[in-house]
Amino acid sequence: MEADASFEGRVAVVTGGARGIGDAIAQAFREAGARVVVLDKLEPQEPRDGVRYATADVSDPGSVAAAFETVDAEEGRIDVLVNNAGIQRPGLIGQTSFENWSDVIGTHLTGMFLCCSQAVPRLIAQGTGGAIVSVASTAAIVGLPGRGPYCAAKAGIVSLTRVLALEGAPVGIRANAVAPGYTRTQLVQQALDDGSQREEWMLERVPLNRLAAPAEIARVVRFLASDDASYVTGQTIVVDGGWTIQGISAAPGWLRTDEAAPAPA
Amino acid sequence: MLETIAGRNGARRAVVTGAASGIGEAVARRLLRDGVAVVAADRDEAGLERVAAEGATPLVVDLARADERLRVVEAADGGDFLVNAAGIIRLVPIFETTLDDWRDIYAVNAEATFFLCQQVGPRLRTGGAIVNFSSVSAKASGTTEAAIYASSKAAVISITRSFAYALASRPVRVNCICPGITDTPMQEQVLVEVAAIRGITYQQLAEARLAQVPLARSTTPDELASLVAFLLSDEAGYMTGQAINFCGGLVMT
Repeated sequence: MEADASFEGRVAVVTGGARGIGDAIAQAFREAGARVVVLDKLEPQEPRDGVRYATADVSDPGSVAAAFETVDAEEGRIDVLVNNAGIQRPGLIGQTSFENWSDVIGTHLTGMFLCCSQAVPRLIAQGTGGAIVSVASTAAIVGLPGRGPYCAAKAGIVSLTRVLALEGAPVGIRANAVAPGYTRTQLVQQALDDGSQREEWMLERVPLNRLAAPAEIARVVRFLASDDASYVTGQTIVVDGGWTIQGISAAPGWLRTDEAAPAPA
Repeated sequence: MLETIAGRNGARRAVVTGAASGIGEAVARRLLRDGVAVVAADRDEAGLERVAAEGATPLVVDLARADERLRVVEAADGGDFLVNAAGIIRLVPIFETTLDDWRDIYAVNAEATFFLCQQVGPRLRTGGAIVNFSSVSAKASGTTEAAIYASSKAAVISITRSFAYALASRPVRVNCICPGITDTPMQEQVLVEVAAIRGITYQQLAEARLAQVPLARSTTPDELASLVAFLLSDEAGYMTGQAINFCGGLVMT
């Protein structure tokens, strides 16, 4: 990737940017000249040069408000918000706990709501417009047994993106989402290494016959936030190597209910 | 914003259909600016002179004819990109439109797109990409005077998915774009002819259409061309089979 300066002078806030896709998104915006603030519960494993890290729990209103005050104090503006923070708690409905449901919805969907609630008034006050990009998932489009809260949260992100696009249009705020398919994050790589997921099960369904690199998701996020996408709003862009264009016919083994997570205590 | 799509792997070559005007012309210009060698195909010989003056190789061809399309296939052989931007529209009240309208519109919008994907796709170099043009009218059918056009554009989405799957193993990626209201000669034709059919003024129709767009404006072929450049580039290397709405929020599904 050649360096470019198209985000020079702009501030991008990326939630969940300490790991995985969020880390790649933070890096992509840095490469394009943005100042980047990562909000995450976790400390970064490998902090990126020039990225500011702030501790925040996106599911907690007080924590999110405090984090955006930090952004105000340190950067003085915001141009791009990327809602990326997410967690996984597999389990069948009827067996998974209310706590798991709440944690998943809280991080993905409530987290997006809370961060947008902070960002939108700031963007309006600045009078500059801005871009909100949220990381959904192909799970918003197809049903995945054992991933009820996750699928519902991601579908919620797609829906909230449309509402934000309509509410934001008169004030120059664009809102879009990216729906990644299987992506080779550290978390996925660990699961492949320990045998809890198998790559051939995933690739059976992916026409391009490979997993995405986190940077490939990050570039689409950055495109949507850029001026090149100035007429794109309310959309969910699927980046899945073609997985969902063929529909799900036979569920691979790891999706069978008898192999899903055990009942909660 | 993007690194130029030429350069990384040496010279790149593209065929752009419908390149004599509107979106196809803007795409041809954009690719030329990015250092891509462009064959500009259209039946409008005079119109092609504009992009030819900027360095494109003109190819005068009637895409509705299978024998003439073979010349496009030859020109694209061993190239990197195919952009199927050629399209035609006829505005006729839905209960008056004829089988000839259907056949003429489908010949360019659906048939040429299908058979150019079929014949050019396997001849593109590994890592190549195709962008087809659908339309938001494939998803929202308020302009019933364009029902056949809209239906042919819905076919383009299906064609895109099928060839995305069929060409994935090379890999050649195939995506399509659904533009909304775009400032092109075709858009002018829609406004003039639909306003006449409905007995309203051009201005009334233009305003009524724009009122449906959350971003409250139309787009330009140049703005649209940056999405084409993105989809052709490695930046979109994991995207295939998608229909991307470029419409200011006019449709969101």
